[in-house]
Amino acid sequence: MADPGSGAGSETDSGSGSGVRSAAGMPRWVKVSGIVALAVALALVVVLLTGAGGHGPGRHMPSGVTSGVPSTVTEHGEHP
Amino acid sequence: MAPPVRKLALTVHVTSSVGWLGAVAAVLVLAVAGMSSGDALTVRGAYLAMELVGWFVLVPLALASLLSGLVQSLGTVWGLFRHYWVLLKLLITVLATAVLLMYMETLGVLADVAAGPADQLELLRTPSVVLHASAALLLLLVVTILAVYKPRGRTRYGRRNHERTSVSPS
Repeated sequence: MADPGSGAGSETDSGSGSGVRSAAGMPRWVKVSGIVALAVALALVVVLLTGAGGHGPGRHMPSGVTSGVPSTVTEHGEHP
Repeated sequence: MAPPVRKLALTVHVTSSVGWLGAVAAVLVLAVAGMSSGDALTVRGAYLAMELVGWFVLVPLALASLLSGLVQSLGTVWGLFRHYWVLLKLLITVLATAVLLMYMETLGVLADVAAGPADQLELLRTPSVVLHASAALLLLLVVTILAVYKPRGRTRYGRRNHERTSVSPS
């Protein structure tokens, strides 16, 4: 959704608005986003390594996994 | 790009991107129903619908969003690697599209189980689809916010490019 009518050509990168940095350097919002992304990626790696969230197409199919939801599925007309 | 073409490309990009977000929200609702409902017809219907929506709505919209985003970036002054927000959008879109394409195999397996014998339906009590759809929804919301707010900040390449074009007007 890059609309060139929104001022791409006139951007100076020298303002002091939210998350704006000087011309030399990375804006604060990019650094914060990077840290958050790194933390999420790290958490995912930990979850995958500890086997808490089995991953990969083959592993998405649980072998009798229950997840705290009602454990009985009934066809119409049947009684649980 | 000429203004009419640019407007058309922008319309395609906005439509596919927002449509993808809405379709993921719909899949999330189906996933919750498929995981938690006690009614076999609802569970079967939810997983069968998710596979159909996946192949005929999610995948086409994701690819359209990615391709139209590339056209939109490369065909305008924003460029693909000049601004952090464009770069971040690209990375998130590529990641979300790649995960979606890989996850379609899982949705296919789940749909096969849903179409199978009733005693196998317990296997569908997995939170996998809910987790993936929630993560996708979050990422696509971030992409939408980036597209609307366009936070400032040029990459090193963008700054060099900007300085070069500022120094030598031609």
